[in-house]
Amino acid sequence: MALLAIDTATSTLALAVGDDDGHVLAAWSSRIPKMHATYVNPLIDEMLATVGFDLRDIKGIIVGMGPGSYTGIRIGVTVAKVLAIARGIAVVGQSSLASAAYALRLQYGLVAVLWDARRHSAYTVAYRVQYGAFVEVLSEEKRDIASFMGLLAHEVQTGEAVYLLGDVAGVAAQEYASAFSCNPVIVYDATASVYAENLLSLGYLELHKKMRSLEVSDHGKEAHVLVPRYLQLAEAEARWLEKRRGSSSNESD
Amino acid sequence: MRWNERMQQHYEEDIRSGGPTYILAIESSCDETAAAVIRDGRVIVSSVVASQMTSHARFGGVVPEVASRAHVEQISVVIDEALVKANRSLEEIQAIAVTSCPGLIGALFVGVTAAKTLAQVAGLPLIGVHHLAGHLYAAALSDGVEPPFLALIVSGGHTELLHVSVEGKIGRLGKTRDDAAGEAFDKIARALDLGYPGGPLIERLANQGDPHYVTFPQAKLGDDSLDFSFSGLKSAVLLHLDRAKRAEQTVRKADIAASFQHAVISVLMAKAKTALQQTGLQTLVVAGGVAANAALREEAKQLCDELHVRLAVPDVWLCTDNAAMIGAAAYVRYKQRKFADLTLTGQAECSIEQW
Ligand SMILES: [Zn+2]
Repeated sequence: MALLAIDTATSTLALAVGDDDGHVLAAWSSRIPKMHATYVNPLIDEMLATVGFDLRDIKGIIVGMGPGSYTGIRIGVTVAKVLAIARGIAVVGQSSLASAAYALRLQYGLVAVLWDARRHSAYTVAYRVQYGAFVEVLSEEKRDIASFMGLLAHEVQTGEAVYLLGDVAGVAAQEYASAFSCNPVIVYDATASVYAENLLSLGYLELHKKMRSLEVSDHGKEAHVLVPRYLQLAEAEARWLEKRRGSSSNESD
Repeated sequence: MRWNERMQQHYEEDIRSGGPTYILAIESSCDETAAAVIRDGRVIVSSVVASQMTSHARFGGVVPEVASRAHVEQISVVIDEALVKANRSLEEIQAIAVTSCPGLIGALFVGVTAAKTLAQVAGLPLIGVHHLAGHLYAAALSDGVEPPFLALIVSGGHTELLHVSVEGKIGRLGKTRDDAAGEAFDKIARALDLGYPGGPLIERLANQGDPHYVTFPQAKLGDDSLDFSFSGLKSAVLLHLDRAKRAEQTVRKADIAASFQHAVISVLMAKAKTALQQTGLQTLVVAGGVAANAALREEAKQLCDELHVRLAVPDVWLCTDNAAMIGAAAYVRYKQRKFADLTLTGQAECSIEQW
């Protein structure tokens, strides 16, 4: 028996297989932007074969729900939903942003993730990390990069280290350096990436609980309602709502 | 065990047993999320379609991102329902089929990824189906028609004349050079303030109108060409409406709808006639969303009677997008052992001849 973790929200296609205690047996990641739909299934096949399994051995799934690339997120979520209903197994959705931050669980300070959401905005979240414990200080949201960095500057304590990660982290660090003049600012990873071993660690407890608590027949039903976390409306939908409200707000994309 | 080995074992077993072949098919190329179970390419065991029509109506057309979001919400539900209604488990299915092209790329990805995952978990062969091939095999489900035949596909995205050989090879004789016929219906419906989707609304209104009220021009593309063009016709209708408006005349919507519909059908029939005469084919299949149009079905029947040719049209409910037709088309490939591998992906465009 094995567990599967998948994230396709970023340009990194991230897969991991764990044993029933959540220990990583294999973890694969490939940066092949826009090719997730092509490679997710063959790579799962390959990875599972490497550790002597096939999809029938999977008893639980943890999937990255985004935010991130719209088209990308749907690929992983679709694999998870269909696998869950086909086998009647448990599935747990995890925030892709939180999973990215989890890579810094052994650091000490503020950990902030910024993934490009275009038009000077980013998918953002910030945690205070101390002795392996995560405390959310800024909740997961699509924000203007400037206002996020402002909020972060407000939260940071004197001398506290600030770890930034994400594909717009480098630019943000440079542009808002003056707001953090009393803090070490470290750009930890300047790509938007999730590694599935982190997804596995982060989602394991919830998955384990679910696997034990639910009747087998309930698992499929749970999977049906799984929906990616887009964190924003489709552009046409936003415009339509705006028109109906007659408001002049230009929140879209 | 690797998918490839399991899949081949399953296939050999099925061929050896000589039992019926059940294909689970998926369609997600546009605004319908659909799944179906088909026996031997001919019998619909179950067919489930989750339509997003009401969701897109407020935008006056299909919005790709809205469609993709709806597909991911519905995909596992329709697959589950298709299996439950067919009273079969995934272990009692012999192959997985899916529309892989053409269509909205993000929408296709959802169906293709779902199909690959099913094939992978059940160790079954995977068949990628061209969406238009699905439309023309819909006629096989209703009518049992077998190739060779001439197929006229008329939908919101396509207007094509295809030659389907005995072996199921498809050659294209003609296509639209601009708008698809169904697209023209949608645009004229919008100009007449009828709403969306345009096809059924124009048809209903045209029933009360005079098809000879205006003679709209039909595109001349050279005598030999079997291609279509609807942009000139569309412009002529818009111009007519504009003139009436400026002259402050009341717009006779029903008559305009009837005249427009008549012009479209006339062109379709003229080209189909030429193609039948040129090829000597003895069967005409009319399929695609617009094939649900009663006037088109009637005219096609008259044409076939006149030429002593057999007409095969899908039942009306099989004209719009569904997964049953994908399963029917896939069966031909199943017998020919033409399978896709797990790198199968959605493509926005692809040639029917290469399929
Ligand atoms: Zn279609």
